[in-house]
Amino acid sequence: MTARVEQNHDAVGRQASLSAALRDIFQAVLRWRLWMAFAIEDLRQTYRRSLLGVLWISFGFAIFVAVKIFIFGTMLDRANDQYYSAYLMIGFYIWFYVSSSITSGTGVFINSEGWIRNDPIELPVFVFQNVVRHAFDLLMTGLVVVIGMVYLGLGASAYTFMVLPALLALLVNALWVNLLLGVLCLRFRDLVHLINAIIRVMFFMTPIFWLPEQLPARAMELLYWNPFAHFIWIFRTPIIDQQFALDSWIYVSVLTIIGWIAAILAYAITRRRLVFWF
Amino acid sequence: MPLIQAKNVSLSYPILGIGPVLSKAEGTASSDNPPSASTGALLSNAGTRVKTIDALRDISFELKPGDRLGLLGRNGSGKSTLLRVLAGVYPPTKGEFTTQGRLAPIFNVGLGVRPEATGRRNIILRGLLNGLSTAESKSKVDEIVEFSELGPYIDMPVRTYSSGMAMRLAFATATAFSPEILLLDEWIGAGDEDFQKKAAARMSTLVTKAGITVIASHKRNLIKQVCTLGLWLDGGEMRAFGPIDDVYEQWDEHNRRANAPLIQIRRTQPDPPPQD
Repeated sequence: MTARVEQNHDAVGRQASLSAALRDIFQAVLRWRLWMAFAIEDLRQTYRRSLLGVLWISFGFAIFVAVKIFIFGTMLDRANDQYYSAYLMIGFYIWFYVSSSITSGTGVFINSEGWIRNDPIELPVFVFQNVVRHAFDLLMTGLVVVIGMVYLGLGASAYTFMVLPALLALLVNALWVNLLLGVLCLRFRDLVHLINAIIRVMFFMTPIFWLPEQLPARAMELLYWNPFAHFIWIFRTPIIDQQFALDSWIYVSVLTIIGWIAAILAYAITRRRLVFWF
Repeated sequence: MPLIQAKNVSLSYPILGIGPVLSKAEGTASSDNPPSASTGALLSNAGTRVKTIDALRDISFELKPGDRLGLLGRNGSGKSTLLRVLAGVYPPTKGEFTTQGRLAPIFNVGLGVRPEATGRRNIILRGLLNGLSTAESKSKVDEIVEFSELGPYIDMPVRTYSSGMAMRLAFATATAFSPEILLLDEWIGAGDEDFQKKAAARMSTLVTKAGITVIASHKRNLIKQVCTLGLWLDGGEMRAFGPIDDVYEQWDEHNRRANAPLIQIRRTQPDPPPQD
């Protein structure tokens, strides 16, 4: 399968082209071997020469969660509360993925300068690379969550299967977030730092370790606009409350559609100029 | 069949993070400040918020199968930019531009490689990039190791390579996936003499397979040895395009005239050795 490269560059240098953007995304999907290899290379680079290698992802998460359960559990006097332990664990599980996928998303294009300036690769390839690389984190820390749930003696119910569409929603959203942030942060480098700052703040404004019931009504209304909370709820509510998080699913669905439209538009408008923004 | 066609190609690009300060100081080119008086292309858009470089202006030429083009010009005359346009990396701002054929661009040591990965892994990545499967890419490794003479270094991270070794790997890899269009920037000279001979030989086999080669270099020997055509760039404009010897003749003639006053002043000194 040796693809022939045929390029026809038209004269409209500044014209945004939606179909070209969509074609890029589609072509990038077909290059799955390439972005899988890039993602594996990222993992190798991060964990090279370490004894446990990628097991550090699970191990590091397990240590972190155990300590947090101990600290917050003691503080809130819920140390032996299985519900709260599971609540914390799942909250951190989703938060780790969401925050790392966003902060690394700011650099999807910035960090691939060497390829983008050398080879005519469809740029969404680097988005898939980063999302897959972090999906691996999601898998490795997910194993810890499964073991943790068994250890806590919290069984599965019919609702537990809602984690599968929730994981899918996480990945689908990570894709547009990475594409949009990749484009914006390449052009406006201040955004990289701004987003890092926002993420640090959002940690405290998201119900990861605290319970929404502790909030006054006014704050609860604000919490409803926090997208991070909804991504946690679509995952956590079915597991520990055995309920279908309908409101959160509606919120997430709308966000997915708006986000994808924004990301595709941003990419379509900028795709021919991105290479000059390094 | 590979083909490169450029019709009135112009390229301006923004230089981000400079701001309007420079533009006031330099202004646009005028008769007092012709582009060839300094290296680099025209800086324009004085006073606007984003500074742009008019890197290429109105370039038209056509390359057919078997053509080997040498790009000549001073530092900053647009050679590398033109190569990147040919590679499809820089979309032109104006004009029409077509490339057909499998491309192999080698622009800089360190671009298009993962320095932390081994030479072997990098070969596979390059294969995947060329649309091969992992197995097909792996099957090229032996041939590339043999040609590049990297031996056991093929299983070492590329960051441990010298620039000559990295060049060997890049050249051997790029040419192993039977490219139809080979684009080389400058640093082909990083290899030692033996390897340069080997590389030149491989480039000529590429030509017998009716490929197109474009090289940007200041090494006249190399260009004359490898290329049939020449394109002389000056401040982003095309001064000459044609058979390589003709283009060099025009270039020498131009330089003689440009340097004439200088030589008079230095009459007491021996003539500079001929440029080679």
